[in-house]
Amino acid sequence: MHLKFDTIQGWLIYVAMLSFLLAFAGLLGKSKKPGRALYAVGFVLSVVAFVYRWYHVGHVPLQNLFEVFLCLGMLIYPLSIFGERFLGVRAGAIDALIGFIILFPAGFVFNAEPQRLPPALQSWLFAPHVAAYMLAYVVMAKASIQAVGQLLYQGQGEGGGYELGTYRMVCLGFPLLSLGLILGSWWGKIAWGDYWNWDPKELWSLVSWLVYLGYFHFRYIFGKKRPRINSLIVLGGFLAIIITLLWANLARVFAGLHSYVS
Amino acid sequence: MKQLRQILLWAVLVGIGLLLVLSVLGSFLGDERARVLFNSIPLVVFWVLLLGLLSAGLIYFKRLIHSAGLLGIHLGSLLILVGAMLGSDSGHSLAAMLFGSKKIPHGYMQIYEGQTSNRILDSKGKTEIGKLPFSVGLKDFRIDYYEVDEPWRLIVESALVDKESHKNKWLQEHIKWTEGQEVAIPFTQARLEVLQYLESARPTYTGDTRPLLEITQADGQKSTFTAEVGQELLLKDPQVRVEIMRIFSNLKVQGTGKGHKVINVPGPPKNPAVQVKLERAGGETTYQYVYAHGQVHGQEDDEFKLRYVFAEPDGAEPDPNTGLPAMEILIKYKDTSQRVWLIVHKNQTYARLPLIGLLGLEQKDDHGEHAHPRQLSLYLAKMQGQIKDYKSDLVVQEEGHIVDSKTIEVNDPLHYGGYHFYQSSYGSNKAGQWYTGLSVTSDTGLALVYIGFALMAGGMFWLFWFKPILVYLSKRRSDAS
Repeated sequence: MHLKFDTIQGWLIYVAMLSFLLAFAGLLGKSKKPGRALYAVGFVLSVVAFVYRWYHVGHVPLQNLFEVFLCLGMLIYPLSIFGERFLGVRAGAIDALIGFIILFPAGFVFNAEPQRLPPALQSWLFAPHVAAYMLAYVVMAKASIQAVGQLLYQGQGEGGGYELGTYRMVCLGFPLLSLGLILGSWWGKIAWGDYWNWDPKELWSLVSWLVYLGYFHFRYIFGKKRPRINSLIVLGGFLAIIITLLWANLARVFAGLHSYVS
Repeated sequence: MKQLRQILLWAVLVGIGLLLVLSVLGSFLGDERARVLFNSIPLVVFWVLLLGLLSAGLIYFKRLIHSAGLLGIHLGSLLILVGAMLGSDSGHSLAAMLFGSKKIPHGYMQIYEGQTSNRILDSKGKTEIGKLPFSVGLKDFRIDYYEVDEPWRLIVESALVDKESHKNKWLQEHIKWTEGQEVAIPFTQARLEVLQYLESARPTYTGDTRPLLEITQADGQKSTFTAEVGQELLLKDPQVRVEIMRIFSNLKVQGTGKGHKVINVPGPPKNPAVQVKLERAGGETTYQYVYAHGQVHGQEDDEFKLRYVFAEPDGAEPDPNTGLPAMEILIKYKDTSQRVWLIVHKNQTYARLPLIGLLGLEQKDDHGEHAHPRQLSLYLAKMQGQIKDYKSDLVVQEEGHIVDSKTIEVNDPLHYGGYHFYQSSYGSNKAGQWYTGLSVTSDTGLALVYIGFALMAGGMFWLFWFKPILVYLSKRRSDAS
């Protein structure tokens, strides 16, 4: 547990979190306007927190889990807007809640102590590799919400909309997931000498990729005839992502090249 | 046909599921055992079947050929699989069997500065597993460090005798000081005050700066003479001729027992000493080593004591060229106080001040005469930042000619003759000679993997991102018109 009430960085995160939480409450109400405004305020504050961090450490702040979650918190709002505008996926109260949940580890769990980059992380591929994954994870989180919606409202009028929303979100996120994997592999070749090292984190990232790959093939075979299974596969993929993001890094069972436990 | 396609699709689902389960299993095994698992014979069969499945897909599903995006993704996957199989250990053994290829898939090289090598060792760096058809030389190796906030720190080091192991337990503590303010010296009752701190200084001497040999006789009478090779002094009562034989700026004993050697190691004068010859009236001759810092070695004499007085500076003055600090401090203990200088000399990374004698502390310890005495020293020591980079200047030689050269570092390997050379480790031997550790990897199949990556990524973004955007834009245009 790392509280950050003694730093500007910490306060920026806490105020952004508060905005997201209030936005969640506001968006549950009848009038959506105050909630929408608070959601936007939370976004601006999370951007400020990220830029402040960048300025403070002097390099792209995607090195440790604190910075990764700080970045993730900034991505949810633009994604909500994009999904609503172009993919017919509604931005609901739950999006703001995701923003709050994503920022929680940055605010309370991980150490924010600026760190100097060890030789292995000094590569231009570092930022795009991590950034592609971060974006993919937030998109897949939204896909999972759509999948939950499908499971809840199946058979009702809205069920089909959620199924299509899930599919569109996975279509948006899958290229990013693949890009993260490919960039990581390429970087691995340059830094470690191998594009694939059978490291636990690599294997779990492959597992999440394979689940979505399976989703596309399954959906190709059955179309919308098995919507419940389609949704469950997407939720399984997100479970694999959570394991990749947290467990593979933190648990001692998975000591490996990607371990940031310190 | 339709049935075949149905079977293929189900086979794809089974294949994906199987790979998924194996990956989860592999993650629990750790990277080394997972590598073995995925390279085992049953898995080789699995990879070949997967390859067949991808090829069958491209043949029997017209969509995979007609849609550029789907073609890129599936062809890309196929190329990655083929490339990976060619580059694997098994792929290399197969190439050796079929075409007599001598390429080594993985290995390690250790090259000392100024030397060249073509020997490939196993991953532990122990056994030779092959030779390169060319050789790689290391011209220079260097490490860059990050800068530290307070590069020179005032540190107290103390050795306490551990009651159980009877070994010295070394403890260090960093003193945070401000000029003109008194602070406690850890591990002691004493206090110190930094009187002045010079960031870049040089030592100053008054009087003779030549080293001296001091002789104190049993009756307390002292005589000194310049410690230079060939200088001698005749003592009366008892009659002894003292002659300086050798001078050491940094004496070191190599080996033990009868075969030991006393040598002078070039570099900073860490252990200045002289060797003296003592000739008694009766013709008895003995040799002794006298150290500037501490004890005498050799046959000791009760009748007189020898001391090697190595000229110590009595102060320091600012000198912008040295980059070495000096600090004048006042040490207070009980009712006494003493001014001392800590001066970092050329080629040194610290200045040391032994505190036991200075404070008059009890030097004897509780574990008998033979136990190592406790240590207590004040250091002005240079702090090393975290490693920023390590770099090796490599040259490639073929038949005695330099054919390529590159400065490699982590994330920037050398590529030559079908191999990549990665900066992987470094170290030095006992003589202080640096070596670089290179991990060597064959590039067989790599081009296919990279083309596969590009096709797969390109195909995916085309299929899922750009094509829908184009469709959306053209629809908007047609709606508008």
